[in-house]
Amino acid sequence: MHLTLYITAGFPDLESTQRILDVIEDYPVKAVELGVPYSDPLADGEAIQQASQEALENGISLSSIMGAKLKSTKDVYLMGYFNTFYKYGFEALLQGMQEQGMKGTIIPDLPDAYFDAHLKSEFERFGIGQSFLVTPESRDERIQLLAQKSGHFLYAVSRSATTGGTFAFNESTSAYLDRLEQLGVKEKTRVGFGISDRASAQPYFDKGWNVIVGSAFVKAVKANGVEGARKFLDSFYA
Amino acid sequence: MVNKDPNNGFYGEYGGAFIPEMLHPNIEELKSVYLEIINSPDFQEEYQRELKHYVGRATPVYFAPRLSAKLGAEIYLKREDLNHTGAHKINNAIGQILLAKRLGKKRIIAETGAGQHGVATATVCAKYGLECVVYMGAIDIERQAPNVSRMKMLGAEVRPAMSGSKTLKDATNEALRDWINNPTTTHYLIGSAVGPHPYPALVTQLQSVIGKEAKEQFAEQVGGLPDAVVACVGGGSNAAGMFYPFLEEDVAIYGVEAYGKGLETEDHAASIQKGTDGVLHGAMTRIIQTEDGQVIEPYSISAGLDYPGIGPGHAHWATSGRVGFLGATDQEALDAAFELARLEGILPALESAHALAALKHEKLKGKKVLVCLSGRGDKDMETYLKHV
Repeated sequence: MHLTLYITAGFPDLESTQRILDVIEDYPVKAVELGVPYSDPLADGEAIQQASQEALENGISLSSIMGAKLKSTKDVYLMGYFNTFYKYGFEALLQGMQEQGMKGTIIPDLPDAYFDAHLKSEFERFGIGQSFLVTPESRDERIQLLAQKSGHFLYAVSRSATTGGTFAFNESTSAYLDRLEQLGVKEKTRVGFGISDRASAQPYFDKGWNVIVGSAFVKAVKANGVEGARKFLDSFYA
Repeated sequence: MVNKDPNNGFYGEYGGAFIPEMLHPNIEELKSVYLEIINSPDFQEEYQRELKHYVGRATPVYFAPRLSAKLGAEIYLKREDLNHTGAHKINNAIGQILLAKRLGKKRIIAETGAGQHGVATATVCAKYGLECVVYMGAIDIERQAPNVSRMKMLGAEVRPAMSGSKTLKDATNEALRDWINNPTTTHYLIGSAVGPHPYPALVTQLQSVIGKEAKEQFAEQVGGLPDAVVACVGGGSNAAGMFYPFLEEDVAIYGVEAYGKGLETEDHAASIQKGTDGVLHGAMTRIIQTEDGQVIEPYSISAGLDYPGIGPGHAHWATSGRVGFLGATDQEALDAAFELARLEGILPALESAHALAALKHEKLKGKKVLVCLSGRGDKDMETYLKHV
């Protein structure tokens, strides 16, 4: 069972982002989501909002992130809001992503219908996937549809919420995972939101699910920079 | 071809529902039932009754003789300032709360800039006994204190938006975040013709009472149609409502944006004239943003026009050429407010004063012009007194 980590690119600066990626090399992390800072991150809680804001104040942009040609042997995804990707230009972005070996995007506010109509063939042309999100409130047919449309993985959020909350693994979480399994999407799915450390990830691992950690890792970086990242990972893989 | 109503959620290229999955069930629900509900005889009967007996509609269309003489045009004011709570916002608030009740919602959230929509929402929540939380930028809370007091007296909880730039766009973000975290209990009562589909269409429908009434009244009082229809545009709800029945008529239509300190400066809120295409708060529209898609904090002396986006309907009507966009600076709006006060004895809201300021325009000379006076100016007295 594996871990995908979210980091806000450019927080506190791009050099630190590369150093954090270097630290991640030492651990069996499966993938990294590079968060693209945005002025109005409406699906995010305080931790990611603040990290985004600071990165923006330091002059980060999708251009500077792509320009940095960040290095990692892990699978790298770009995660952010539609508007910044749209302004950059999808064709140019996908080309750049392909050149840098990035695997895919996670754009939470990209509607699947818009993707089909305007972006799907370009994504296919460059071999890049888009990961769609599902929630416990998503209907069965929708979950299957989005799993099918998703590239490398389907992003299942554990709770209908903004990022950064702490959600105890309970009966309804269990029921949700069972439903996803019955729908045949378990292998393709990674579960995120509310998982902050090994203890909160363990119930997912025990049931055979792959997880994503976001805000907790961002908080660790906020508290202690690159060292904070290392400490988090030491503790997770202890 | 100009869309009066959205087609599959889009007005031309603009609109849509660019929302995270967490909001999908709510938006889907709204989208599938709103037309059926608001067009049902039961809803219409209750809605029209409340508009008449509670809001005080129909509002008059008033021919302004002294203003007309001064401007060299025939100016007719649609008096939305005379509604209960002092602006057009209540038309939408009443309609949406009746919708929310039919959807079984117990809790209402809203965003507000100047506070007029916040007050309208708090008003209808008090009237119908629903829990009310209004998000307002921390900076706006300071500059619109009287409206904050009104909301509190009406029983609403006013929560400051401390994120981002602490004004209207941030209040909207906080309301959306609240909705993401409370999807089943809560209806998000959006205050303008913005947001993900079906909101722009829903708000336009509810505000179209303005234009429909005005069209009939004009025909009755003057005969025929006006030459031109004018309204100020922030998010665009009073304008969308005013323009709606005229879009398919042979009538010139003008939206007036806030030029703030001047279009040549960075301090304005002219999303159509200086913005570029992008997605904000769930809709593809025109936004004041940086090259790399970060939303820029706009500026206007009037809090209600201080929004970096605009309703997608307006983006479409502007780019298709159906609606012409003009503007007024802070100073021009202030001057126009004083002019109306001294010539007609009416104190307009700062937002509406922008529409009045545009009446001097060349294109309107000698014409019969119907203007939406979207609100009254009591909330702006402190600002006005500074500029006497």
